[in-house]
Amino acid sequence: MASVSRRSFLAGTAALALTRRAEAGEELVLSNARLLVGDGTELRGGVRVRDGVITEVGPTVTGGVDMAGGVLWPGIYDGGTSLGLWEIDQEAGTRDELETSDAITPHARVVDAYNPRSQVIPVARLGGVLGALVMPGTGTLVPGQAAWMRTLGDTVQDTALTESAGVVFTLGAGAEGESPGSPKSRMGVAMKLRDLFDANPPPPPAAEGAKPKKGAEPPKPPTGLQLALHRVLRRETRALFLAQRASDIDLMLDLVESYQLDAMLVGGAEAHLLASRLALAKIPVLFGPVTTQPDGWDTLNARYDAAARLHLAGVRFAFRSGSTHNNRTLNEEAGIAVGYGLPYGAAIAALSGNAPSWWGLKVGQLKPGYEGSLVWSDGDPLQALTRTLGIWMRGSAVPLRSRQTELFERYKSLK
Amino acid sequence: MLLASLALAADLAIVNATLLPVSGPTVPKGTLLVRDGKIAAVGANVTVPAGVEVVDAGGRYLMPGIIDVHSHMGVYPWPGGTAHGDGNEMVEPFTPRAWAGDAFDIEDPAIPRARAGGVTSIQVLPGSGNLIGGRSLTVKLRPSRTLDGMAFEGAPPGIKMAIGENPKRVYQSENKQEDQIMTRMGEYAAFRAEFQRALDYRTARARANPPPKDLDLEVLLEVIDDKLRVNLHCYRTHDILAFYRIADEFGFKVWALHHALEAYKIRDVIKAHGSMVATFADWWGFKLEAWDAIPENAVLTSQAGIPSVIKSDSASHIQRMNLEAAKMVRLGMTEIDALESITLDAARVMGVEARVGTLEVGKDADLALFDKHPFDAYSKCDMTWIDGVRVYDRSTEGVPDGVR
Repeated sequence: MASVSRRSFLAGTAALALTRRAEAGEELVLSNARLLVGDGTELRGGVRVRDGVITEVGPTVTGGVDMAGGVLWPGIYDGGTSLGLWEIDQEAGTRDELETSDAITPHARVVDAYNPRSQVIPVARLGGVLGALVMPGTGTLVPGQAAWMRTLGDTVQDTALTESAGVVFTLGAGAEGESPGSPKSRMGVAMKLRDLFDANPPPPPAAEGAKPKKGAEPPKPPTGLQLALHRVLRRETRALFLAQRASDIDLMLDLVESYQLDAMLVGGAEAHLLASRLALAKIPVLFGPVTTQPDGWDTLNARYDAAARLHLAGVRFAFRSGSTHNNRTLNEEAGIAVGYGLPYGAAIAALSGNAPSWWGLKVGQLKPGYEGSLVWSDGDPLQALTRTLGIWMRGSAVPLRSRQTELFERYKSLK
Repeated sequence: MLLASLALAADLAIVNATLLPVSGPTVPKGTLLVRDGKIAAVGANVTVPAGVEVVDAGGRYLMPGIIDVHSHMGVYPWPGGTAHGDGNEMVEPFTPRAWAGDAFDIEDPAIPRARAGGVTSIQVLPGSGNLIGGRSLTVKLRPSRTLDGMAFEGAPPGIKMAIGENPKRVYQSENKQEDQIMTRMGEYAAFRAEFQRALDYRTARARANPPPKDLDLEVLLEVIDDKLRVNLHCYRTHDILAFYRIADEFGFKVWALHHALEAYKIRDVIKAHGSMVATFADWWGFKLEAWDAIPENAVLTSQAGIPSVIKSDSASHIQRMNLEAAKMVRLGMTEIDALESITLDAARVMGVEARVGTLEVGKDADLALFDKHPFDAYSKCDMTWIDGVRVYDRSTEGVPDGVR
């Protein structure tokens, strides 16, 4: 028997909760459930997890813990949040989501600022968020690199699903900040991005490591900024374009074609207006929030049925909360999209499996080979009335505790 | 578009509806009869008179029109931007003479979208940058080209006050030479001084050679005399307690605590004072004073016997207040209490509970028809009526696009 790996993490202000990784050979069996696989399909039966990884799914799995006919599903994988970077909006010292020392910082990595002990994370987890694409905030042109994180872990290394998930580029008014080098108009946004790509072409593969000619100055090693851009221009990492207005999405399509980028669209309030072009260009959309309103000049064409329209046009999309504290309501957002015409299976896939699959991550689906992280609820997880009964991550039960549940326990009866 | 005040309500019968009266249990196959804009009959055994317009609900859910006690629609109209920021008169900490109605943009495109969510009445409040931001506006969301056309006749007046982080953040700016407030001590000292000034003014006005009329102090005297309902923006226990001390000293009641994210911790004290609570379903963490929020807040205050309201404070959330209330049921509130939190209890906060908030004979025919139970995640409001006039119909209007 291998040694038990026990780690501690701070679940709340007072309580020190112990979490543990499944032991080698340890098996978790959950059965008698309705299974939302996370790719849009459903099964009945159970899930077997061994060493933290799913080994069997479906009606053949019996015994173990009885789910009493409830729902087992992979939980929410938020396609865009600043969870772990951002504690309290108005307290600047608790926020690390945006590096404002310069408008262009493609080598800034959110994973270096991520706090796995953030007290916001257990609140998100209890809301069913088991993973998230953690992104830098809005306000500079190139704010840095996103990362996929689990919502449970003691260290950044243990928590990260992938430490760099792409470089974020901000289009539209969100790029026009006060940082040095910030563009001041949409013309400037396009100009500065083209300048940036043109001025930093990746060296041809042969040139790297080649010995300099005798007498020649040795080439300067590329800067961190250049290395990050080289990876984008070589399609070794993704360009994640944050854009809402249709004209900004149009600019994105132009940049993607000009520089042959491996791109995704983030936000996309007006993406439904260019749905067929996005589908043709095979650009996935980290879409949302679903409830984005036509309340500002960049989102005047936001619609509740936008997700249904993207689906109909064949655009691949996943839901993004765009929120740090309230991404636990992403299931409600998905429910609203269903109310406005999105098929249920497509909504579950957009909530769970879609986004991680674009990075090849084995999370967000109840399939053999995927991480054994699941949520047990007493009904349809998109319903506000549905309760979460249990959470397992990598094969181990997670206590349903957060700072909020501890406050509730403390004050549920007044002494 | 007709002026709303000219739109006459034809008599109407909504039949075959699942009635959620709020005043009583669900009626599976009910009828609601509207006459002269009022509910004339409601229940399982209602005879439909000949000649009235009949709407067959086909089993859909009919509930009282939703009421939002904390809206900034019209004072922060869409599209957002500097030119549309009309909710916070932050030139001095006390502006009780200001009135939300004077800034209210009746053409705010958010309003038709709220109607499409089944909302029929709102209280529009000034923002929370000032200690006293100004008086509130209570309107019905009738389509109208005039403010008069939206008036909720007979709704008692209210006033917005704010304590805690916001006013001191606004008034500790180095740009402010006067009226600086650095701390909570400063906030409550300023309140005391201002209310004392009002009392001194009253004394002086009773003398020979009285001082000229002061519009701010006249309003403060109405507060002290409990003629204006105090809607207090607050979060933390110690802020609420500090303000209660002032209210006790000057002898007025704090009518409703808004936000009040820590109300659950001192619900006995709040109950004793007699305040109602209007809170978010689960917003939290946006500032330090919102750090101890728990989603069970309204559940616990409701169980303590305090009228507890879910409010939007958002032109987006106002469109789905039914789903915000639904969360309360998951957390332990009864279905009736959760429905009350966006109807009858909200009407109580606005002092219009004799007029709206339930499906009872004699009340205004302010109604919302949902295609599924309004606590169902997939439900949508299909039709909305105000005073018996249909003001929204999804089958012909879809979702109003929100564009000017």
